[in-house]
Amino acid sequence: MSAPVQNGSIFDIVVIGAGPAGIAAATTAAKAGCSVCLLDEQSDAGGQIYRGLPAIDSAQQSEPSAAPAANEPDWLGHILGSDYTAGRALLGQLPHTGIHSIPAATVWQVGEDGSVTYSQRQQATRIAGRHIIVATGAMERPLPVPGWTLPGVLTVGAAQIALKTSGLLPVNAILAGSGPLLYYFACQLLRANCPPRAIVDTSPGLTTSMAGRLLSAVLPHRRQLMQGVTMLRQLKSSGIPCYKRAYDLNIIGDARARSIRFRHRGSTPVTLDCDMVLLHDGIVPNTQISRSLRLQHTWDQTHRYFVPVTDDYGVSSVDRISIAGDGSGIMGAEASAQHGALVSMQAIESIDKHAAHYRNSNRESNRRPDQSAQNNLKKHIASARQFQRLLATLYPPYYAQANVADSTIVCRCEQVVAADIRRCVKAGCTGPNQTKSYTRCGMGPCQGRMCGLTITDIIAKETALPEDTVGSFRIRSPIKPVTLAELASLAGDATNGSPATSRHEAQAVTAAASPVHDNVSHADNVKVQ
Amino acid sequence: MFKRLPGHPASSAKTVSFSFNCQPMQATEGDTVASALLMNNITTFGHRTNADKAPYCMMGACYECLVEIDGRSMQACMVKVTEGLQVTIQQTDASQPAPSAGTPPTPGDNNT
Repeated sequence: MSAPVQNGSIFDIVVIGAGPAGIAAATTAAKAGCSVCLLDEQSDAGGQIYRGLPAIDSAQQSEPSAAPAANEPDWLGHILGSDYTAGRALLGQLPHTGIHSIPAATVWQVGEDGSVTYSQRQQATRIAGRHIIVATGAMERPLPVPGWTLPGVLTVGAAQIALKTSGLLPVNAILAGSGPLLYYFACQLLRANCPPRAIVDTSPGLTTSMAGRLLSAVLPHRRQLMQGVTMLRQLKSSGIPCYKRAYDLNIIGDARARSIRFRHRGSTPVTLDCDMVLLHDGIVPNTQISRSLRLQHTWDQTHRYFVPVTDDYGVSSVDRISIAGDGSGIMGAEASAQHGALVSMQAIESIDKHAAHYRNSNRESNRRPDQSAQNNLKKHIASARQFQRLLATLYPPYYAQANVADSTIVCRCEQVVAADIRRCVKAGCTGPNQTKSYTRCGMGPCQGRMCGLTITDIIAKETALPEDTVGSFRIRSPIKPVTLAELASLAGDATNGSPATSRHEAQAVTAAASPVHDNVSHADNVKVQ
Repeated sequence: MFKRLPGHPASSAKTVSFSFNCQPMQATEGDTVASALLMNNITTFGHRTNADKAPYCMMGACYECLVEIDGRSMQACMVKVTEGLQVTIQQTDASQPAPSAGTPPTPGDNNT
């Protein structure tokens, strides 16, 4: 693309996160003639769902013998599944759109004024967008069981990322927890000829009354459900031991995980030796940016997570900030791409409305979005959200049915146990932010990503208050640790930006150049080099 | 323990040499430092807050895989391994004893 992105650069739309939603949002806006900047923390686009896909494809193109393509026409599709290779269609659009793609960029500040600050190779840059689309997706719900902090315990998603990006296969691993990914990944390992040692499923299973209630909800999703049934059949015939309705999970080890102990179906405890435990407990929206912006959030009782309040077009409680994809509530990769496009269409309209003078500039004249296309997208998205609610009902999180044991570490960074949080509640704390002051929970480098939901859950159960009342950690920028050198790299370069050509741009430049106003003095969040 | 999937481009990519705690190791071009260490059977990446630390999320969220890379504190899962990279375990002393819940806070203060 034309001019390099630098401090003070202004775009019509800044998209944060290059997963399905972000890519679709960015390409939709770029095709409509908007200037778009697409930021992602990884070195390649695709998000966690398509991690490694661009690198694999380029390796196979440059050196076809790199994969046994001759005797296995679609090796990748065979092992990782067609849901993964489906990402090629989306990723293939990116190079042709004129989007300013900035890979390996860690966004650590987003302002209501449209400013976005990121670090890339230890260099910070602040840009601005007339509209911001936050497409930071989801993360796995942390599963704090005794021993979950031992080396050798990873998430299922983590092992899947290692498989996609580096072809790493976990040997003799036990998959434990709740959610379809447990079975999906087990099938991938099976196809890769490296079956897991066992599956320990903590979901409570389907009761007759629940089955009746779910029947009508299931019908529109026959295709996905059949995919699931096929998967379960494959696993059953593979002979991989599968322990259903497991509870009282306990990972045992010294310097690393050595075994897992649990009960299932009311039986006596089972102990299985293993080299590795892979945990999964569903996925939850990544709300760090939306929280740092103080956007309105609400508790979703079906999914048991907080989600930013958005309208059908992803617009948050701040007009110029939209949330696209799983970050606005889990909907899956396919619907996330549709949502990204829909959110982008609305964003384009909104910036046109706010800068009418801009409409006659260099953009395509007729951009009125097709109403029926939008309605179609909305229908698909609603259906996908409904399917995810169904999955959330079938695979509730572990602590929907149990309490975190007192001695279990909830905050990994600061080694805070559940009993510490309960003591705070007894001392009068009614929300997560107070427990922070007493225990340091949520104040380590992950900034509460790994303990936030657990702490809300513990306090809600102890106080019998609704989760919405208990609330969550107050998140402040920098939302990822930055060095003082990175902060310094930002200073004094504000006037160097693109020349302002309109009043709107001049205002945005000023906004982009204003100092980091939040809490750079907050020593816990600043990594001093 | 991890093994490499035959047929994945990484299984036939160029080998790069790096070191962990001055111990020479080999990785594959394109590996993250975290993948490279796991492939070399390194289980502990750090000792912080009196605990052994190792990768948990592999996507940059948990900060459990922090290591020192060429003298800088970095997430092993977010950095690609390159020829000659010097990686060391991250070791910090326990910063301070965890304060116990003492005086009850003022109700309504500092909540959400």
